[in-house]
Amino acid sequence: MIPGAVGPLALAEHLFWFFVLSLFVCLVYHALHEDSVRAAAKRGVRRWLTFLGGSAILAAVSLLLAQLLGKVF
Amino acid sequence: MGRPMSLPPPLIALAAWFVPGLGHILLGRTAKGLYMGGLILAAFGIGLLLGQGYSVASVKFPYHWWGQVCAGAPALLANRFLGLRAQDHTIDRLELGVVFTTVAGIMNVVAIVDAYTIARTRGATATPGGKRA
Repeated sequence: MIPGAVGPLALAEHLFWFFVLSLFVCLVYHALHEDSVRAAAKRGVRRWLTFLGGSAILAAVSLLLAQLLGKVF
Repeated sequence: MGRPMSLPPPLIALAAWFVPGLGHILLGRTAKGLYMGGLILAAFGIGLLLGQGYSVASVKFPYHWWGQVCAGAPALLANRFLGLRAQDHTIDRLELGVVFTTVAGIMNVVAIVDAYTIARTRGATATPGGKRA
């Protein structure tokens, strides 16, 4: 068993593919709203970076809460 | 921008389903069609690679298949020629492949709806007075 693994894969790999998939979703989403491909790609990447930032903040808060709760219980 | 074809919206939707991005290309939005189709096919291809070709299998993943088949011809071909083979080994990334191919199919639904809407709006504005038919 791999330490910190989810199924046979490591958590880091799951996260990597999750972010790759989210990039595709962001790019397709913005392609719907923009006629220019360049503008759509730019906005899609920007949205994806925001999503990455938000995910990182959520992960940090979750870890902090888990540590705090771990001390309490 | 290419020359748009005056096809009925349901036919545009059918073309958009069969080949991701083709609906937009037929409507004259070649760059957008190639871009969206390329993204959808890339996501689908990554899913196939992750699952070593077994991620699109209507028999093994009947629920996911409903999402995957929305990617049109690539899903039908992958199922027919790759997914129906007997799997004799464990594939660690099979679930990831199933998710990628399913999401690619669902993204194509969004592209189909977009192409259909553009075709319908174009048809409506082409009527006398520019009013919706």
